[in-house]
Amino acid sequence: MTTLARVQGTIMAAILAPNPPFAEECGIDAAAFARAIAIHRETCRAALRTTLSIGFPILRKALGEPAFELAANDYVDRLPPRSAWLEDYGQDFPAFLRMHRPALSDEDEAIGRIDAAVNRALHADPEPEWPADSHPIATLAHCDESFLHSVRLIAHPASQVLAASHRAARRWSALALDERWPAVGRPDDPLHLLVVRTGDGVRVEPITGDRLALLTLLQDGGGLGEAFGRHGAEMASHLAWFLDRSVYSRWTAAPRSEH
Amino acid sequence: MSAAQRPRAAFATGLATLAPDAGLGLRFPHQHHFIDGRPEVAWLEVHAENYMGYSAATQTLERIRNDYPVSLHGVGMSLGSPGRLDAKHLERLKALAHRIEPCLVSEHLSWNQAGGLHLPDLLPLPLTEEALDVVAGHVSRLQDALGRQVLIENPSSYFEYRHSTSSEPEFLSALARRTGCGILCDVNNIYVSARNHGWSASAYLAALPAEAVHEYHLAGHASVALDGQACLIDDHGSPVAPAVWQLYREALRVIGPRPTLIERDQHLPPLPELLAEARHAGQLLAHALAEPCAEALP
Repeated sequence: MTTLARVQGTIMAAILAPNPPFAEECGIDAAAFARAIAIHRETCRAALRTTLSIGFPILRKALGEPAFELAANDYVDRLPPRSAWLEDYGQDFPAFLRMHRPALSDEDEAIGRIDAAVNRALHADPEPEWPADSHPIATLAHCDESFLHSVRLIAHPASQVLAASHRAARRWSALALDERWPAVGRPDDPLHLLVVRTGDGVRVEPITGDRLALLTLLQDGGGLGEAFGRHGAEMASHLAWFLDRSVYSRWTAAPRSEH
Repeated sequence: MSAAQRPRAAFATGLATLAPDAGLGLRFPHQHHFIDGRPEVAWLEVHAENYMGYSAATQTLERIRNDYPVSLHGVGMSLGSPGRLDAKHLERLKALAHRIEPCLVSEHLSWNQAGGLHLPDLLPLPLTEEALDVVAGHVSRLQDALGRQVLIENPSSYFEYRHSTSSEPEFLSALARRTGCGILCDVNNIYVSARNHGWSASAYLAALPAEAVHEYHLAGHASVALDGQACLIDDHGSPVAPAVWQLYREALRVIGPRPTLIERDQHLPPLPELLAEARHAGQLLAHALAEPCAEALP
C-alpha cells in the first residue's frame, strides 16, 4: 500500500469511528487532527442525513423530525456510502430500521419501502440496454391482433410493483398525496401498489384484481397470447391502462424464455 | 509515457463562450424561477452528481440550459485517491456533459474515497510528489474522457500534513503545467485555509499562475470555537464575508477578471438575495475590466 493510500485509509477510519485515536502516522498535529476529524464527521453526517431526508420524505413525516434524525444518524454511522452516486444511498434504510430500531413498526418500514420505490423510479435509467430484437412500445399499435399473441412486453426500468399493508399504504397516501386511497380488497390482504414515472414525477396507485393478475403474468415473462387467453374481452382495456402509465417500454416477439 | 508525465496538452474549453461575468450556483429549490422568470444572471453552475440520474430535476436543467450557459462542478471524482478513477462515475459525468454541453467542467483538489467507502466531503491531500502523480494521472484521464479541459479547485482545509513538500499554489501550478488543466480559484477557501493555518492569503494569490486561473468561487463561511480555538468552516451557509469580498478585489487586481460564481448550499435564502450578491460580483468584475493590469498597480 502506498503512503498516500495508508494515510487516507487511516483518516477515513478516524472519521467513521465514534472515538478515533490520534494517528501519528498521518503526519498531522494532534490537536488539529481531532478538530478536523470532528468537522469532517459532522459534514458527512449532515450531507447523508439530507440525502436520506430527500429520499424518504414521507417516512420523515411519519416518524417526526427528531426520531427520523436519530434513525438517520444511526444508519449513516453504520453504513457509509460506497459510491459518490448518492441517489442509490439508503435503499435498505427501511429494512435497517426494522432490524436495528425495533421500536419502529411494520407500518413505518412499509412507508419507507414505498418512499424507496418512488426514489428508484425517479432516478431509473431512461434507456437501458434493450434486447436487440425489441421494438418501441408505440409500434405495438400497428400490429394486428393475431400477431399480438406472440408479443412479450418489457417493463420500463422505472416501473415497479410492491406490496404493503392496507394501513401503511393508506397512511403513505394520506401523508404524500393529501388524500387517502379508498379501501380496496380485503383489509388483511396486502395492497399492491404500482409505481411509475410520469412526465413530471412519479405516480403511485393501488393495483388490484384482473389488472394485478395480468401485470404479474406479464412481469413473470408471460406473452400477450397467454394474457389474451386468460383475460379475453377485458384484455384490450387493461393493456391500454398499462400503456397509458408507461409501465412498458418495449416489446419483443421472442418466445418466453424457459428457466 | 504515463498520463501523469504527459506534457501540457491543448484541450477545448467552453471559455470562448463564457465572458468574465458573475454566475450563480443553481440549487433545486430555485430551479422553477429560472424556468418561469428568466432572472438576469450571466451563467449557472450545478453540482454534477445531483443531475446524473434521469430525474425531473435533470430534465428541468436541460430546459434551463437553453437559456443560460451551465457549468458542471463535480464533487465526487476523488481525484486524490490512489488507484483507478471510478469508471461508472466517469461514464455518468461524460453522459451528463454530453446532454448539458457545459461551458465549464470543474472538480476538486481533494479525496473522498478509500477502502471502498465514499465520504460526501472534500478532504485535503498531503502535497507531495506521490500525490501530484496520482492527481495528475486522474486529471489527465478525466480530460481525455471528456475531451476538454477541466478546472481544479483549491480546497478549504482544517489541518495540514507535516510531510507536504510544496505549498498549495505550487502544487496547483505543477498540476496545471503537467496536465494542461485550469485552476478554479475559490477565494473563500483561500481565506478559510489561510486563517486556519496562519498563511498569507495575499501570498497565495500572488503565487498562483494567473494564466491558468479560469474561474473564481465566492461563498460564505462559519466561525466556530473548537477546543477553545477559533476555526473557520467552509459551510456555504451565509453571504460572502466582507473580508472575502476584499480578497476577491485583490484577486481581480493580481490575477485578473474571470467568470465568478456565488455559491450557497446551506440556509438557502430567497433567490433575489443571491442574485444581489451575483450583481455585486458583476460590478466588481466590470470595474476590474476597466482597470489597468496588475503589473501597473503599485
